[in-house]
Amino acid sequence: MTIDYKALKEGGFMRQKDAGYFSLRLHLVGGQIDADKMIRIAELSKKYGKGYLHLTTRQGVEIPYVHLDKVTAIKAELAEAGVETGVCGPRVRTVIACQGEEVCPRGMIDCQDIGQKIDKKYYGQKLPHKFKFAVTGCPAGCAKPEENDIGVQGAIHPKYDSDGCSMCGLCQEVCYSGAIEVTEDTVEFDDTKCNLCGECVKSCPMDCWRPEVLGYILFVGGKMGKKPRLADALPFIIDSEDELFSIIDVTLEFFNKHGKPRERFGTTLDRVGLKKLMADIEKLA
Amino acid sequence: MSEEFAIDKKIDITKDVCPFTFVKVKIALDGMENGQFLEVDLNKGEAMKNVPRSIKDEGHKILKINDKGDGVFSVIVKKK
Ligand code: SF4
Ligand code: SF4
Ligand code: SF4
Repeated sequence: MTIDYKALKEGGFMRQKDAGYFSLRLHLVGGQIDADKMIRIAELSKKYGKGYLHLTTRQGVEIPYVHLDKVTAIKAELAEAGVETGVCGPRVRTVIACQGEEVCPRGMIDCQDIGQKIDKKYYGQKLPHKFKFAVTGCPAGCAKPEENDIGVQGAIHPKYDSDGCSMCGLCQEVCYSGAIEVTEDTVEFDDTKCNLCGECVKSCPMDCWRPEVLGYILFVGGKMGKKPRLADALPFIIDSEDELFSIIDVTLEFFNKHGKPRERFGTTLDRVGLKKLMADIEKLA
Repeated sequence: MSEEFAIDKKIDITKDVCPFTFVKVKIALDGMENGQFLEVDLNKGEAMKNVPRSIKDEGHKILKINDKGDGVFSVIVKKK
């Protein structure tokens, strides 16, 4: 019997050390899954695996110890439960995301929604090498945007209006980057120190700090692995979802055009130059 | 400067850690009437970064923050 490992791999079947067994990767987005589906997955791990699940480092779920003979059967049962198998190989992988503004007080963007949209648009798309997305709500970066090929991060560029300001000093206290100084009767803002976290906007009791721009910072070219490379942040705030997706489109086209087979995006960027990508992005405007 | 407001209740959360800091504020506010004033003493740092913000998120009004020195601030809150 010949085994088509390639086809199996495209379907998220990760070949195990033990001959004939696979760790079955499932398709999740942003580390969230409906509880009933999770119960079903747990049941199927008892039926086809060893009765345990593996939570991956990128918010995924795998069912280890699925035998080759059971591949078709488990796929069918998963499909019935509305669960798809994941992908591996040189393509867009699981999109990870933090809970974002819906849940986290620090969040500035709806990370789960953006994550779903990225997944819908790009998941499984073939590229020169594997490609990872992360969406995170603020500079705390819980979803590690700098470790991914593309990281999306929420950002607010704040603006101060003295109207109603009580000089209470709270904004200075909450600003981690020391961009705000409150004196007896003035509030000074040093733009160059601001890391766009939005804490001043969220904290000021008088609403003197407002978002001048609310949007996204894009990180490109990050990866971990044997040769880690932190991503570069594009030097501007993207102020609409449409623009965000246009820039992601351009970035993926750039990788397709310049990336060598089995070369991670960060390596392509180092070789070809971030400037060149910036030039392509500027053509959009 | 707290004498500007007729404080109805005072609490001190300088010895507490997150999340008890905010929980204590919440319990204090829950036991008050709308429009009453609460004075909260809290520490600079973590509490100052998080508690006033959570009070705002719950819809109450922070009227004043006074620096009492030694890393302690007092926050005057009006229950919504
Ligand atoms: S990245 Fe920011 S918004 Fe997301 S979970 Fe962390 S603190 Fe919250
Ligand atoms: S937190 Fe708001 S009211 Fe207080 S000093 Fe800053 S801008 Fe003024
Ligand atoms: S957005 Fe964040 S870093 Fe910038 S001034 Fe406000 S609190 Fe400071």
